[in-house]
Amino acid sequence: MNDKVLTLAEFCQITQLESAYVLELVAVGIIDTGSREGFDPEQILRSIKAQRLQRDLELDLQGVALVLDLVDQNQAMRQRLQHLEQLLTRFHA
Amino acid sequence: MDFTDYYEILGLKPTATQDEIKRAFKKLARKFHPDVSAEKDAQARFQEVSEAYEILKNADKRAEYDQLRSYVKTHGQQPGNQGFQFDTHDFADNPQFEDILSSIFGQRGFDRGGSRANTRFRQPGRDVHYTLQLSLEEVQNGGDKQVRLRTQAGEKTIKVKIPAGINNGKELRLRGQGDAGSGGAGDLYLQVEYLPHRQFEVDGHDLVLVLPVAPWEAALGASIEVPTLSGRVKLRIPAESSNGSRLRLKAKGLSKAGDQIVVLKLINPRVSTPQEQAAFEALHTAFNHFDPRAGV
Repeated sequence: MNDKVLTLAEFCQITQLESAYVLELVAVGIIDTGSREGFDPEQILRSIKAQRLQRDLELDLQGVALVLDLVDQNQAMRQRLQHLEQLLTRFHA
Repeated sequence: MDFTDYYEILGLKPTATQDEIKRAFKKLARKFHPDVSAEKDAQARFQEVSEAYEILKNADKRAEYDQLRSYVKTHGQQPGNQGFQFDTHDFADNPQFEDILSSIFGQRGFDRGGSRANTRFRQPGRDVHYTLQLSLEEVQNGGDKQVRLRTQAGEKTIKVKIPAGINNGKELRLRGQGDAGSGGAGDLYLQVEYLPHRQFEVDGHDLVLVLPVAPWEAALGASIEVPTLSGRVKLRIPAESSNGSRLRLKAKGLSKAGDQIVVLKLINPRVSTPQEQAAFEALHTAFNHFDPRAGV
């Protein structure tokens, strides 16, 4: 959706995370710099969430990565289920 | 106003052991963590649970809290009356209770942002979470939207830039637009929620329209005008379509990546006159080889 990429310094400034921490997130694959030279603004919130989850639930990064992936899957499934239910309702109305 | 019973919040008896307190907190923290939970009031509940744990996990703070609690239980209100909520700020403003408070919470209340109490004079503001309801038209068009929020400091209106085609459930973060604190304001989070539409359903980036058609339109094919979010367009229904057939209108979805899917819904006409009956009887004769229940 957004073609702009951020440098590590910009990314750290916006998220207020340490650069070492951000690089750790990249290393476990919580955020992905892809083939592009820099950070996607789409990853900002994911990084902040990762840090909050780690702090509040005392998780290690592998656990954080798992939680974030499952939350995404869960949200996608909930939306899909909601869509199918509503479609069914319309279809039988 | 009610006294906040931290034991109740954690679902515990006042006799709970430290292990039980820890376990209850961990369980509820997982349940209500705003980054994980689908509960509507997750943020508020997580805050409550964290506050309760912050006090009860510490033996000294807990002992003082227990004293206060048993006072309230016997007298029906908190010392000093005026019906204070057990709120750090209310208490701290009352000189009579400054002592007990500072021993429980630290000088000026503990940090409500969830981190430790040693930031006592530079308390960061709280992050606040809101739901941002958008009509499908607003999602498709994107652009600026005036959003009215009710905050701690009263109502305020902010301008939010909505990217066209923004996903349902997506969060927008507005830095420094959360509650004010002496250590800087918290952030404002807006989570997008699509409003139901009179005609369309949403499936990812696609819009879905259930289109009623007559049996002969489905059987013989037809050209029908159908609504899209950006006006009406002609849709060709191929011959031999059936109930539930899906047709695709390219690039008519919620975003550039999406299409509009049209699902056909066959509607039988009501048969009331002799001519109408004769028409269906003729159909029956013409299709006497047709078995709708083949394979049932």
